[in-house]
Amino acid sequence: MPKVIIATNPSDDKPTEYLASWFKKIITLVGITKDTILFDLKKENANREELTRIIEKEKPRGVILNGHGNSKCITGFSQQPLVECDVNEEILKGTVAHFMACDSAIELGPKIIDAGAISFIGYKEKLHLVHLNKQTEDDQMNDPMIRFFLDPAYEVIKSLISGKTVKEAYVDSQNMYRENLLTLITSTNPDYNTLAAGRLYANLTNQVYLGDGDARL
Amino acid sequence: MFDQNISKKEKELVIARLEVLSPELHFSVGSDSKNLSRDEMIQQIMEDSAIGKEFVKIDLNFLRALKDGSLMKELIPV
Repeated sequence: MPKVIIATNPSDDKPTEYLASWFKKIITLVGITKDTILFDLKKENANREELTRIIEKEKPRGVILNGHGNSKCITGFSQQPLVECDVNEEILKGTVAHFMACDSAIELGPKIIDAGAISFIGYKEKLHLVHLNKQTEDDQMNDPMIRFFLDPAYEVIKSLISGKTVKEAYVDSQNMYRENLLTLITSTNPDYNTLAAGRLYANLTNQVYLGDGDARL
Repeated sequence: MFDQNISKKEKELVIARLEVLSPELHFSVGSDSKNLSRDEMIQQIMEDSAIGKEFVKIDLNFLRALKDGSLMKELIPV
């Protein structure tokens, strides 16, 4: 039985553009992995109605929401709410959820678990990105700074798709954050600086998983 | 995370650290959709904006983690 995953990529400002550009790596991986089906809601389609419709119809095991957020809410296109505390957290019942958004692990993540989600991976404080403000998708994918941030963040998703458990995927991601942090701290390349390292350190220490660590997609 | 008021000297330290970086670097902080260049971030810090304060707080937290050894502990792979 194929793994079904749904993702949102609003791509309506620079941070979410970078997230969407780098999501192509996940799309490529899904293409290689024959047993995975991905529904990617892009731009205007990254809205609550469409997300709810596809979840109800396709019953995905994995839900990957890339967007902005706060402790109670994650948003889609035009920063319209996708999932909110005490509004619709139950739509993620039975799923393994990964939120790439600020503060989502503070209240929303635990609420989602309480409402029946299997596992949640997200961040308990603000997310930080350092990049070169590239404009095109290709240039964003080749941005030498953003890779330090998005490679480890997406490692969770890659590991889950490859069949690892939530805990294993989380550890893979944390270890990649550590490797990148060490590179930023020790490299003689002046562009790899400790100000960027500080931001990466924040992402490393704020990433958490909740719920069943032994679950798989 | 250290929660305290940011002193003038701490702000100056972070600004000095920013000033030696490439002006091409940009920063995205939290859910703010603004995308700030090095010089724009320096301006935000000087103006004591929320985004500037967050930027300084993160850098001070990192420097303190380096000093007290918690950063080194964090670097050990699981």
